[in-house]
Amino acid sequence: MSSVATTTDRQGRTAIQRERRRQRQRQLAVRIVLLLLALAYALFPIIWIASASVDPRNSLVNLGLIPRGATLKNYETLLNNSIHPFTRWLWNSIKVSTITMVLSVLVSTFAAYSFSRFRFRGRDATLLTVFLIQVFPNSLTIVATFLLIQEIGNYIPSFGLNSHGGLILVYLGGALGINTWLMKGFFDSVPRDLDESAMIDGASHWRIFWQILFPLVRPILAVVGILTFIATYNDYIIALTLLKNTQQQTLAVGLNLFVGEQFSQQWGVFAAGALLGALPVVVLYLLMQDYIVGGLTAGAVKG
Amino acid sequence: MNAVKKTGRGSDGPLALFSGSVTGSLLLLGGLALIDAFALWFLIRLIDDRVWFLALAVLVVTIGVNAAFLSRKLYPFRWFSPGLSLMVLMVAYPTLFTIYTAFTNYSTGNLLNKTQVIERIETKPEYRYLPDGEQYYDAIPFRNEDGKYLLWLVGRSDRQAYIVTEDDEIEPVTPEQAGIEGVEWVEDGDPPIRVEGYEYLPPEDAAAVLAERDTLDYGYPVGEVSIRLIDGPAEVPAGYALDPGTLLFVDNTGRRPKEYQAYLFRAADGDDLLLYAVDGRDTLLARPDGRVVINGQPYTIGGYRMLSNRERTAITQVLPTLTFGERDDPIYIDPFSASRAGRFRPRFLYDERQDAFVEQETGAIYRPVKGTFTLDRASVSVEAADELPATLSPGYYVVVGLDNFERLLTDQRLRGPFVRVFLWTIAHAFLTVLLTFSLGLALALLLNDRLIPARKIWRSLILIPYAIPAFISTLVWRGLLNPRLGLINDTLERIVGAGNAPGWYSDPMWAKIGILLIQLWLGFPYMMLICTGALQSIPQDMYEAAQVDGANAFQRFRHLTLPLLLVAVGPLLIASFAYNFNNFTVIELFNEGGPPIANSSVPAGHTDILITYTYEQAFGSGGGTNYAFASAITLVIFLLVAAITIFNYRFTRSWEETSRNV
Repeated sequence: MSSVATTTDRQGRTAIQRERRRQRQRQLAVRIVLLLLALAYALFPIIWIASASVDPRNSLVNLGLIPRGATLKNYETLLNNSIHPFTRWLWNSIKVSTITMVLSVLVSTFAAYSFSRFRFRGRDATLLTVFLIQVFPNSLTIVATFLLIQEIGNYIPSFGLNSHGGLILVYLGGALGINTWLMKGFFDSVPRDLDESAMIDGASHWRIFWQILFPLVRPILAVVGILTFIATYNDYIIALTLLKNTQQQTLAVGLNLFVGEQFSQQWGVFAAGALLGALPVVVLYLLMQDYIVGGLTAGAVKG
Repeated sequence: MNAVKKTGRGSDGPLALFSGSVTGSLLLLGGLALIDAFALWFLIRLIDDRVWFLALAVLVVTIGVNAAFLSRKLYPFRWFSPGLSLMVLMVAYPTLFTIYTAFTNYSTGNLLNKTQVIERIETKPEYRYLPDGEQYYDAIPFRNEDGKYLLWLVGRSDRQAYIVTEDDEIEPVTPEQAGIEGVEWVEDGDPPIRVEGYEYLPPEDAAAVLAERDTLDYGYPVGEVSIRLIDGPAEVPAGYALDPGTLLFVDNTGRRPKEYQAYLFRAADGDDLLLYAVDGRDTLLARPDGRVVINGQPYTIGGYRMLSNRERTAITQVLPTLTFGERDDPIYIDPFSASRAGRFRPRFLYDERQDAFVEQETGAIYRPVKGTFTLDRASVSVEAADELPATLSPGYYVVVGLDNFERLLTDQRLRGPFVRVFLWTIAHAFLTVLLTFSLGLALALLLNDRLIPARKIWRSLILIPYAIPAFISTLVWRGLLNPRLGLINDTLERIVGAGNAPGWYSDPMWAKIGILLIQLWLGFPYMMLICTGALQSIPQDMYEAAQVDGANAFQRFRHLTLPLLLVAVGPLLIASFAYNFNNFTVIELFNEGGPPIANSSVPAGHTDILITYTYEQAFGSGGGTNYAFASAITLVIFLLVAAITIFNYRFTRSWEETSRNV
């Protein structure tokens, strides 16, 4: 047995160390090349659609990753379109998602507070029900939901078909299970000593909720709210079923009309719409990345 | 259980609502009263219309909310009364209604309830007949400005003209209504008529009168008429009336504007001119008050105006549904011939005692069979039975038991495609999770190296596909995968030659691959995120220990990383599986489940998953709607999702944990 690589370089490193270092660097280079490939895969459709949106030809034919010329004409056409009211759709989507977000968070927070802070008969049964309904997405019962909203609309048109009231009602029902479930977990993590001492001081539940617990769980509310906003904004099946009137439709339904009718002829305008439509959600995601990841791994799946 | 009983403060009275303050309680009571008033109004209307299920749901919600706010014991429920109300109305009700519908025949042709159907059949225009001894009338419809109709009728037997409106009973036409009061025809006369109160203007006098004006105003449909004396051939020494082509005139009669021989009459007590124009057999009488009679047929009666052909065509569906004359002896337009009317009577009348419809001419009986009134052939002679419809439509919805499920199992042309859809649903969800997870894990492993610069930026950039709403990315991919014009086939054709690139829309296999490609792009960043989180939670000393034991990189991955990772992300993978099991958006927006499966008895496509298949049955464009069958399939999906979930929580036991912890 002879000692290997006893030669030492000027920095005092052995040959083995140098070899290790070189191997390490080679490995890193391979990693970065692979990552670049992944990045290219992730981004090429986006680059392609961005290129289409500024391409003056407004067509799918021979569209490459690099636009032939740049113009904002497609954006102009998109924003001043009376048959396909893009701005109206975007506004509808943002409006419906925001209202759903606020109401859903409120309703779920109340329910979660009750689950977390009270022990009462029927709690387990109710909890199990909440758990079960967050398992079955409400898009499953879309037929019955459609018939229900249609029936309600016979009496109260502002909650019937083609109304945002009805749509929001359905979204609230859909978000109820998962949001209550997530929120209950967060309430459970707030020590009970806090509200118990407040109660000894004579505070009512109403005050304890708003003045002690609500501020404490506010960051979590933001996460749940944003997840609800995104899920609502991204919904297609329910909006498609309930909204038939172009003026009432949300972006998810409207954008498809765009493509369905004038697919290859109006591709540039569609591309502009796709980018603008994705913008609110993508910005939300990138800004709130860390929070959202926490919420996602807690059980919510993209919807 | 360490549960603490704590349901509010005990010192409050039984009706104390919140913190015990009087104003607060009053406010709350007021709110509750408002809700109750609204609920009561809604309930009464629902019960009035026999919408039982919804009425029940509203009742349950109302009672629940009241109980929660009025009972001290139910204080905790007050906090989730909004949530519970939503749950009952938007979750429980649709779920129960789905289950109920799955066992009914609720579909096109059976969309109404029995009461509605009985009324519909008794009043259906197509189900009317003209009893013996009644005559047909030729009918010409008129309409006034309020949209009310009047019929000008001429009896086919008695040749008598009548008028009937929607409000008044039928009456013989008076000369005033016909626009011919005071008019007397003179056989071979010149002029051919005499008019009481008017004086005929011979051509010379007419010329003098017309010298002052060259147009005369008359009512619909003649409008403005220009009058001039014709120069030239002396054999027609009279004045000519030229209809300048008022459109209405042309519309009604189909005639071109043309010249008439005109006879002018002047009112005895003024300057008003009455025009009588003749062209061959056609005559036109235009009165100064605007009434016009063409070939003996008035064009306006009272405020009613005769409809043009085009207007008449537009309302052929509406006319037969109107009731004219007296309520108990009405006159209808023949639904099969809009120019005919008569005292039609319902052919089928419901007999409550027998729970059946009776055909009025032959006495044939129609009994309800699974929501459809069906001819009892024994109730009538064979010849008569052959003449009669076998069933009456519409049918009503009714519980039909397991019919929908039976159909799923026995109908060959339904079962085959359904099994395909079913298998693809599972394959699609499984492969989506497998592909996204593999790529996501690979990227997470790649990024899990502290030496890589700016890891957060890499991660954010790779996250973008996941952040873009699926309804947008799918449409973008639909363009990318366009078989003729898309970037992908454009590029591929350069390699494999024109025409050899995959048919992403038309070829079942390539369509499936296309969907998986889209799903991979949509989902891998999510998997990367959750794998990154899980990788960071694996303790480093385990790797060091493995290294000491001499495990190589692959062995460390296979026996250490992967198992630990799977434990952490397993539930999320199953949740992702369940989500993609019902991923409507991607498939519906990419190709609506196409290309279609040939020879299927209901619409089905090669890339349909259960939920798009269901959707097509309920709301599809072709073949009507079948809510019942769609609901039956929904129940199948329910069961599958339930199975996945049970499996998932066996796996994690997180239900017990979450329910127990405080």
